[in-house]
Amino acid sequence: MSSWAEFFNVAITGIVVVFIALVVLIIIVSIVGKIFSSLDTKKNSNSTGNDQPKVTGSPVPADTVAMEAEDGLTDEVVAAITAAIACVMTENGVTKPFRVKSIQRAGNSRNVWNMAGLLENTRPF
Amino acid sequence: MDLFLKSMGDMLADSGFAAFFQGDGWKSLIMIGIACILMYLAIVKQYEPLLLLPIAFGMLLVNIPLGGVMDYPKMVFEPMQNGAGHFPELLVNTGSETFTVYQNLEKQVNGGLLYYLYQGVKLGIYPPLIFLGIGCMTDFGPLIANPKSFILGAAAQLGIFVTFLGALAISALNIPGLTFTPEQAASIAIIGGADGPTAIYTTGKLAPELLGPIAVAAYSYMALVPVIQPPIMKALTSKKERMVVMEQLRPVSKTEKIIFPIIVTLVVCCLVPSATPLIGMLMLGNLFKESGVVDRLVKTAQNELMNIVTIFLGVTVGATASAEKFLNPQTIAIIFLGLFAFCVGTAGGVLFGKLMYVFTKGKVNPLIGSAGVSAVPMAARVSQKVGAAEKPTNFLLMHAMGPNVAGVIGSGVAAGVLISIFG
Repeated sequence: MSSWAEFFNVAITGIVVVFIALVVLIIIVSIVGKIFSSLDTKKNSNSTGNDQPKVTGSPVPADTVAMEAEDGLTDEVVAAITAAIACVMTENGVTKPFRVKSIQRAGNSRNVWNMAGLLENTRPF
Repeated sequence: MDLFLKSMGDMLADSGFAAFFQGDGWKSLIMIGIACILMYLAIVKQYEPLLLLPIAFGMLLVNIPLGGVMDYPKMVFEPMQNGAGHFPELLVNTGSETFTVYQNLEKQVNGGLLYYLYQGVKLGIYPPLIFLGIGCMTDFGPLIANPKSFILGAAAQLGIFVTFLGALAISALNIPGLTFTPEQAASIAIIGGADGPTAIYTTGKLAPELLGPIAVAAYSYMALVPVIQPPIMKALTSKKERMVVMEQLRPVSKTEKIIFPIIVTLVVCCLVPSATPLIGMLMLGNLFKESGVVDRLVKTAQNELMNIVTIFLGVTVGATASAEKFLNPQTIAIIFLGLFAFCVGTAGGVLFGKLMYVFTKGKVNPLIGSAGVSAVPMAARVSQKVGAAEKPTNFLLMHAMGPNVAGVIGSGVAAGVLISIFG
C-alpha cells in the first residue's frame, strides 16, 4: 500500500465503518427502548386501573378534606408530604392550621439532593 | 590500600554512572530527566497519575545504563555432538551444509523482569483486561436513554482518520528521520481516540516500536483534555447554542441495560471482528455489572485485576521508551500529531453536535459532542463545565456521558478497522 488513493480509501472506509456500526446500534437500541417503553406504559396503565377502585372505595374519615393527588400516590406518601410541610412550617414559626388540598409534581426540575449530587460531581473543575 | 582503590575504581568504571558518559549514555540522562518531569506531572499536577506514574517510572528504569530490565533472553545453540542426548534439536541449513544444533540451557541467559511482563502488551492481553474493568465501571444508561448520542461518538473519531492522512503527509515530505509507514501512521492516529488501552492495543499490534511515545502522548493529552477542548468548543459554538438546556433523560430499565452489552457485542464484533478483544471484554465487564448476579467478579475486575494490570501495563509501556527509541524526530512529530488528532476529534464531535442542534430545532446542546472523543469521564465533565460557564443551572453531565461512552465503542471500532487493514 503506497498510493494516496489507497490512503484516502483507508480513511474513508474507516470513518464510514465506524458510522455504520454506531448507526446500526442507534437503530437497534432505539427499537429495544421503544419496546420496553410500551411494555412499561402497558404495565403502568394496568396497575393504575387495578389501584383505582381501592382509592375510591376506601373510607374517608370525617375530618379529612377531599383532595386531589396525582395517580399512584398512596395515602402513606400523602401523609409523609403533609408531615414534611408541617415540620417546615413549624420550623419557620407558622403555627396556623393548614389543609392540603392538592398534590402535584412540580415539573421535571431537580430536587435539592439531586442538585447537590450534581454539584458535588462537577465541583472539582 | 592500592588494591582497595583499584577495586573501587573498577567498580565505578563498570557502574551505570560511568556509562552515562560513554557513547550515547548522555541520551539516557535526558530520558531520566523526561521521566522525572512526567513523575512530577503525575504526582504534583495529578495528570492521569494511575498510568502516568508507572509509565514514567518504567521509563526511568529502562534508561538506567546496564540495568537490563528490558533485556531479551539469550538462547545459546550449539552443534550436536555425539549425535544425541540433548533436547530440542534443530536442523540448520546454511546453504552449503546442513547440521543439527541443540539449545544449551545451561548457557541460557534469562531476560529482564520487564521483558517478561511486556509480553502482556506485545500479545495484546493487558488492554482488553483493562477494558474488562472499565466495562464494570461504565454506566451505559445515558447512551441507552438517548441512542442518538452514538452518532456523536462516531463523529469524534474523525480525528483518527484525518491524523492518519496527516502522518502520511508529513512522511511524504521525505524529511530524514521523519517518515512513517502506514502502520505507524495508523498507530499515531489512534491517539485521537483518546482511549489509552485502545491506543496501546493498536500500537502493540501495528507498530510496537512506537509504543513508548504514543502511550506518553495519549495519556498526556487525555490529562490535558480540560485545557485542550474548551477553546475549540467555544470557537465552534455560539452563546445561544451553549446555553441550550436539554430535556431530562428517560429512566432506563434494568433489562435494557442487560441486553445492551449483548447487542453491542453481536453488532460490533460481527461487523469488525478484529475489534472483538476490546469491545468483547468491555461488554463482558458491563454485563457482569448490569446482571447483578456476579458481584464478586465485578469487584475483582474493577479493583484487584484492573489495578494489577494497570501496574504491569504502565511500567512495561514506559519501559519501551528507551533513549534510542524515544529521542528522535519521530517522537516530536507524534506529540504534535497526537495534539492534532485530539483537536480534530473534538471539532468533529462539536460540529456534529451543531448539526444535531439544527435538526432537532435547538434541543441538543452541541457542547456534548466534544465528549465523543472518549477520555471517560473527563471529556463529559469538560462539556458540563463549559455549559455551566454560560448557564450555571445547566447540567449537561449526564447528556454528555452518552457520547462519552459511545466514543469508547467508536474508538474500539476504529481500532478494529485499522488493525484489520494493516494488521
